[in-house]
Amino acid sequence: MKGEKEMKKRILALLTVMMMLLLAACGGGDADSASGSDSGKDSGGEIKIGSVIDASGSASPLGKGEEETIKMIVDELNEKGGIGGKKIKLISIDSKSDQNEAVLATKKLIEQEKVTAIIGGTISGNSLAMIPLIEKAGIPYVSLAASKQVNNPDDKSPRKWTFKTAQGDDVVIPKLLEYLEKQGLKKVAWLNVANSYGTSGHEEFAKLAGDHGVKAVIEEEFEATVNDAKSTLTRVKKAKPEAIIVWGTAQESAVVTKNIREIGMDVPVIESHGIGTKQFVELAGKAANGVVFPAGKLLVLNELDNNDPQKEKLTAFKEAYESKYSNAASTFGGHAYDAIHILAEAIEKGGTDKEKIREALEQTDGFIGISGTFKMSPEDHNGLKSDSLVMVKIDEKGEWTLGE
Amino acid sequence: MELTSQFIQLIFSGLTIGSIYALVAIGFVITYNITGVLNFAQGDFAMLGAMLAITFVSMDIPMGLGIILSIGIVVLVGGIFERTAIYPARNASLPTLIIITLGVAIAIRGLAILIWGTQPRSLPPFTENNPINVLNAVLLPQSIWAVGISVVSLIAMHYFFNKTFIGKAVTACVVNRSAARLMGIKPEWMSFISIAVSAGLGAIAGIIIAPISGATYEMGLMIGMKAFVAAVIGGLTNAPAAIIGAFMIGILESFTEGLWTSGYKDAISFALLLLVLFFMPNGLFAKATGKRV
Amino acid sequence: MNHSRVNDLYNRHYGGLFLFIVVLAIVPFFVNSFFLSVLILVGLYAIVTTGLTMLMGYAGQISLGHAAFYGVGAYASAVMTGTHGMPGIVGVLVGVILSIVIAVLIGIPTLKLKENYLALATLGFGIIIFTFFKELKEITGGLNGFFGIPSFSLFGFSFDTDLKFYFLIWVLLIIGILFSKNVIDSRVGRALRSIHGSDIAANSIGVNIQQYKLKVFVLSAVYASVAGSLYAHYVTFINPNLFTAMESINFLIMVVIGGSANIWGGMIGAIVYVLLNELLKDIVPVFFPNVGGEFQIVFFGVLLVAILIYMPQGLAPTLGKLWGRLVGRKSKKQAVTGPPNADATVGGSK
Repeated sequence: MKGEKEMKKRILALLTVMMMLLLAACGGGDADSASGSDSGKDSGGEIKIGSVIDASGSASPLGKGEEETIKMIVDELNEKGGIGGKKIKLISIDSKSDQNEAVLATKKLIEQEKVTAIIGGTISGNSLAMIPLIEKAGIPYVSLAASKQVNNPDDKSPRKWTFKTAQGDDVVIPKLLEYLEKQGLKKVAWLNVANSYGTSGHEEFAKLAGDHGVKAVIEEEFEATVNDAKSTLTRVKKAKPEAIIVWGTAQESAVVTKNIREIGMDVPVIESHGIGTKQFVELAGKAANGVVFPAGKLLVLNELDNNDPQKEKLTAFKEAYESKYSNAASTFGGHAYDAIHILAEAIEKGGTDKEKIREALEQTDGFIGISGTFKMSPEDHNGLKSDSLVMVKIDEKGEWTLGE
Repeated sequence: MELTSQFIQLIFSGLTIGSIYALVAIGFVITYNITGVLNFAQGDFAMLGAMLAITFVSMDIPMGLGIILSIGIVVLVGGIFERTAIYPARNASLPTLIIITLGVAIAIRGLAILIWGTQPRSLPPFTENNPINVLNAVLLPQSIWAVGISVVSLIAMHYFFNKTFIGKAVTACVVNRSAARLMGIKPEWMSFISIAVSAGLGAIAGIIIAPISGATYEMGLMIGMKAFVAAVIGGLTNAPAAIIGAFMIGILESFTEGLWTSGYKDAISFALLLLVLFFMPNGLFAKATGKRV
Repeated sequence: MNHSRVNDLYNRHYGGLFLFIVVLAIVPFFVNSFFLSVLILVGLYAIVTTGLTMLMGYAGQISLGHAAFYGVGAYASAVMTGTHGMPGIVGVLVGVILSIVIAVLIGIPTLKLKENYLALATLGFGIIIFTFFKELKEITGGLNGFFGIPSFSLFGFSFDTDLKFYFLIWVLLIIGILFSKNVIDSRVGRALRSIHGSDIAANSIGVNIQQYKLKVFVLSAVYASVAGSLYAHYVTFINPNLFTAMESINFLIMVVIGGSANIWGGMIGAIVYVLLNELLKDIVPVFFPNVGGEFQIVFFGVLLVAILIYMPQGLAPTLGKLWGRLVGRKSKKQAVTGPPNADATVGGSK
């Protein structure tokens, strides 16, 4: 028994020491950040911008491109002399596709790094977790996530400081419905992946379909890890839809698309902007042929009219990105491109005063970016309309072409 | 008529996925019987097998050779895993061993991200993959491959454990460890062989599912867990029962999806696990079939 | 053993506790708000891991589904306070009651059995609960998540700042640890340790081992549920992906790092896990600029295996010994000459 008590005493002592160490560590952190901001003041001009992006983990196929784009643009802006003569200092934190990491990163940026503005929240869940902190602290924030809850929540919780550059479901779904209406496809089957991306798309679809005379004859979900969706599709087949909508990202959508063809259904397949990567074509193989989906214009750059206002920007972005990194430029990187540029313009106008930056963001009008031409307002913190999208069709060679 | 074709379709789907679960489940049972370890890294061997095969094929190595190479490498990985993580802890408690395998699973998954990234990858089908029409239901050649290869592998396993010298030695260790030792068999090496063989079976499962669903670094988790349910349904110690369990799970899942909803598919499989644990902890077939391996 | 000496040890033991509490009370005034939220998260994890430590170290069982209890608490609080506007305590209680019911239902049939069937059952239960969080969209908000959870208030006092929340969490944690100690040091708990968890020996001396194990399991579920409730109030937004099997495994990793041989191990594990995580974030990029968070996944996997093989008792006793040696050399009066091997090591995990 004696040894045990002794042990307990030691452990408690150890705990105390650990807490001390913790204290020292934080103290150190404080000193660091303090000196950091001091030196910032000394040099007379440094604007700290923080980013919280899922560069690793399950959302990294989206996040990687966003992080790289932001780094690239910040370097570019700094080479040109920064914003209004001040260099940008980017503090980039990887939130690892994890909500808790995103929350801690946001706290760190606000409290420790004392940044002027924040970009990020690759996936909707992370953005939604970050927003309460951001609204409380009053920091201009540009989200990269798609869900409409980010800028226009159902519960009307405040979004004074929150902006976003990704096309939300409230922009993409109307585009899809317009297309269905134009093609005369009225009875459709709706299939979405069982995650927040798929379900928020579904909610928007259910809300708006009636307005366009479109009716879902069957609505189903499939898992993000689906191996074989033929079982679910037997029910879809029985419902005899005129077209099938598959709302998911590359891997699971590819499985479902293959299965649709394998099971012998030859109706048109319309999918989401989440499949706008080459992986989809690679994974779905022949079944990808003929699939139509709404997407940013980046995918069909070569086919764009020369007088399309976005063409120049898109070409420049694609060339700059692909000469610097090994991956192809993605529309997700495009969201980050738009975010940092819109923010830079707002800081140019508003200086480092947060409220002034916010006002300037709200007045963004006519900014031509990768995802479209932005016109924000106090009511609309996204500023994109469905004309920022095009319908893209995958041809026999697996190439993207304009589908309209 | 339509209902019949739907049923046949559901059975095809169930058998295909069931065959994958069966291969991984057998790995569980072999490992559990010989080492007493519930190996949660079993599903990740499937992922490794799939990823390696995809890599070899993309390097223009002929598919057959690529597949054999990947199985070989995964067998090796399994062996290394046994020597570095299981063998040194062989006297630890069951919970400790379970957590060790969880740690290994996490490490393998992390390494896979470092090497292959998080993007999904695909493997071409083994042969021309034109659907075959059976009573208005569709059967894919890759599904035939899946079921066929599983059955052949399982028969080979049976032969290995009952007819070959090494296999018999392994079986002997399961039946009576100390008696086996007296006969000059080293139980320590049997643990090595069993885990290496299980890893190889996992790799085969991963390689045959890759052309059907593609492969990602995290695919091992769910395959592993489902196979695990199958093994428990079989009572954990009974290989033929685990195979039946695996096909049951596969068909149960495809019928849940086909007749009701896909949302609750996982919940149904695991509810079955709970029911078996609560009411028939020795497995559904405890009395009907014989004993172990 | 000399009687006064025992008393002496007791006193010093509580002295250590007192010192620890003083440090805990001072810490928040010296750290910035970011670190305060790290500490809050550590505290929340530690409440869960304390329960798990007790379960693993003193009942010899592991759970692969505690994230689900954490989630039950979180959703109970979210729904009760967010949807129905009830006071915070109602949400906590609903979560606790649900967790108790579930834990009893799972525990009774599986704890009777040999092998580690509780681990398997909790794994299954975790996945089923996850499915419910995901599919019961009207109640939980489904995969879109549940947002707008109000901050926690108790009897009119609102824990709306990080500082208040920090004290709430850590006071609860200390109470939780002391309560666990009480259970462990109970007659049954001590009897169980003395026989190193052997069922036969236990029955022969008239100890109802199943009942004890069930009690510990239920208690650990309650801890997880309470922590989950408070977590929901703290971050105000939850979604089902926070409560997956992977999250349960992370809790286990913390317990293993700290070591289940000592009730403080859970807390040490949570602290070390979170600190290592933060440290790696700063250190890794220096050496491997192109490697992202993936490296951490590999690191924790390997660390977990290494600790279990080479330091199966976790960090707590090993570091404790080191500390003892350091102190022992300096103060002669204290004469720390007890056997180096701690009989604090419990048999439960053997």
